[in-house]
Amino acid sequence: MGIARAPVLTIAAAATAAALVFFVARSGVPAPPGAVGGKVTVIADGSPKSDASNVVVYLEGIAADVPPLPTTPQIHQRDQQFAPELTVVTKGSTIAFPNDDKIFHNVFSVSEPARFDLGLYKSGESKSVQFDRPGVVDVYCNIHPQMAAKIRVLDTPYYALTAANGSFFIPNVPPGTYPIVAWQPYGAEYRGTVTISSGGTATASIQLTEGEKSRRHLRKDGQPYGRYK
Amino acid sequence: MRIRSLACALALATLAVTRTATADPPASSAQAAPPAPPASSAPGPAPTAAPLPEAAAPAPPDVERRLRALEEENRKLHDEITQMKDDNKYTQDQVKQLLPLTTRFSGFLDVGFFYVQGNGSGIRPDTNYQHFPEYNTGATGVPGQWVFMGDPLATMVNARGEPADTDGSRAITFDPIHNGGAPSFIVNSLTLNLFEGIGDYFTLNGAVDFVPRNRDPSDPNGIDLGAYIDLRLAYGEFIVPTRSWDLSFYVGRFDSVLGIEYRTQDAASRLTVTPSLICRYTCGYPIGVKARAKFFDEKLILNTAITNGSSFVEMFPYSDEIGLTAMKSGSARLSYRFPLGAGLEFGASGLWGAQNNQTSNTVYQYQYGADVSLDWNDIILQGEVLHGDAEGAGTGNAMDPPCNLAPCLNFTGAYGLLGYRLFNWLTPYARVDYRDALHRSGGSFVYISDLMRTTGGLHFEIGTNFILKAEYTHIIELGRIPQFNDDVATSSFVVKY
Repeated sequence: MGIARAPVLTIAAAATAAALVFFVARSGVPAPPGAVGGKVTVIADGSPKSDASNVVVYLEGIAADVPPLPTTPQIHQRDQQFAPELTVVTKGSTIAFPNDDKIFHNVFSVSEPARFDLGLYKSGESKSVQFDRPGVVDVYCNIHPQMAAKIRVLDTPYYALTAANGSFFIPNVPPGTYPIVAWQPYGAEYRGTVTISSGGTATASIQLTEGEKSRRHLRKDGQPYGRYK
Repeated sequence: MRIRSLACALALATLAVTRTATADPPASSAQAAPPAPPASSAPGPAPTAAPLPEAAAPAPPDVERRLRALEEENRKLHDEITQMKDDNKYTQDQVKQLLPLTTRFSGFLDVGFFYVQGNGSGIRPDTNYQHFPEYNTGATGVPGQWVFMGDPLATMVNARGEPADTDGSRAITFDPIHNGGAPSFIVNSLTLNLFEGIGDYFTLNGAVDFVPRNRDPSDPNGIDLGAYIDLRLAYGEFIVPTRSWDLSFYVGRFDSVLGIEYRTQDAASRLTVTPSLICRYTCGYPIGVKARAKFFDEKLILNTAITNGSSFVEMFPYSDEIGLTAMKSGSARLSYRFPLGAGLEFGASGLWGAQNNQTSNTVYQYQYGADVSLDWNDIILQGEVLHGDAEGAGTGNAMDPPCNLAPCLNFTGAYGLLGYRLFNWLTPYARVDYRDALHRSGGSFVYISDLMRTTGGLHFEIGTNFILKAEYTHIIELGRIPQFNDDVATSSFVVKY
């Protein structure tokens, strides 16, 4: 009797498991997410850079809500420079531009995703801009040509910035195969694909070649900067 | 349950059809709907499922009507968007055309009030050779009234470096203010700056000062020139489209390449009211060609120029606008900027070429100097030191005074400027400058300058368009030169446009 019941129980258990899998699949409960991590190597002058930070790695093609950042990042105007020089946000996020200098600055951008002109203001004042369209926004000062910053606006929540050693990690990614992009402020970007399994961590090894930092730019009215200051 | 609900729905639909048949149908549905049964048949048995399509029949025309309305609305919206795009493009084009107008022309009005002690002049004659008897040598000497002690430009009252009075000066006879030391209001200049970018790589630059000054129609010496126009800058800049470093070429009348004070000598950009004592050697606007290159992310800068004359200002001799010699002047500056605050910059510069205001190619003048500037934690620090010599020429005859063919000038000078941005609107500053020079032209004149000035001032920046500056300068005569009253109190109110 005992011998005869064991197969029955096994079959029942298997059937239960199959039914569970079937119903879970049918009920729309997502499979456990995966992740992607790895390392970006930035080549400059033929050899890897010791500082491979500030490379943006992100995944494309994942249908997901893209919430704006809950906080407001700041790009300071300090000592006649922008700090930081690179800011990454999701679309819909707002960035503040406080002036820490006791001299006038005039922050502006003529980039396609966000055109704005904040006018002249000194320390103690801050103005903000909301970035609703994805892309690269070049930010300059209309008075000081040496002031330049970049804003990368993303339409995906699945992104990471590399650390100084080039490592990155993007958690909580739905399983699947997606395009992966590594973007650097100056130089060509990398494009590839990555397959992320449920509960697993895919590894990507990416190599970028750093380009020349383009310093020349025009003022907000499209004119070159004037006399030496 | 579902079946019961369906039955109820069918019953209700049948009832609705029956009622519709008894009412006046809308014109549109009357055409599309099948003919209604006669009223007498209404009491008959309730229709089964067959009438259902007839009950739903009015819906398609309604949907179609709504669709058509939506399409019409969509078409209107599309037209409106197209129109708005056209309008926006037109506005953008207009803005593109108009915006450069605001940047092509800019400038400022600089008005002030000043008072200089004594007769307004920074020099005094050593009439009786009381202090400098070595020039009392008869034919090889200089008449006592032409032995000048002090600095004819020390009593400058504005950003243009104009002294309140030059008194009986012989080297600098142009005396644009010439007020004898009386307190006075003054319009220092109405300045017009022209800037035009031609494409991405060429700029046209100009700066003109309109200077209202005294005119005395009865004065036979003509030192009161009256109102005049000073074309300070007129040059084109070609920005070479290099990638790894920056290179620009300039041609025309441009900024000097010597030192750093020339960068901020306009009243609108200058921290102080007046220039330093050595600005006369480095703040001129020579005519020629210039190249400026920046390397290593703009940290290393090399500036070189070939010009008709030196970089002296026009208020001081040795400045050839039009070349008098075949040999030109070469000048250069090399600087390096360290990333401390807005920049800690060290520079060295020099000039060598044929002496100005004479015609020989073999009479030379030179100068060299070093400079430092720092903008860090709201501290502004600038300093320069320089030395130069215009060797001049004489006949060599022991009976003739030296430098009788071309004047001789030997000079050493320095200044240090410290400012602190206390508030957004207030920057106090202090400056110390020094000049030691000997300037002689045969028996015509000799200037013995050995002085130090200490200046304290306040710089108010009121909004984006107004600047108010006030400063007091105490002048200390050094060496054998007696102390005389020539302190300067001056102010400047600048309206930028």
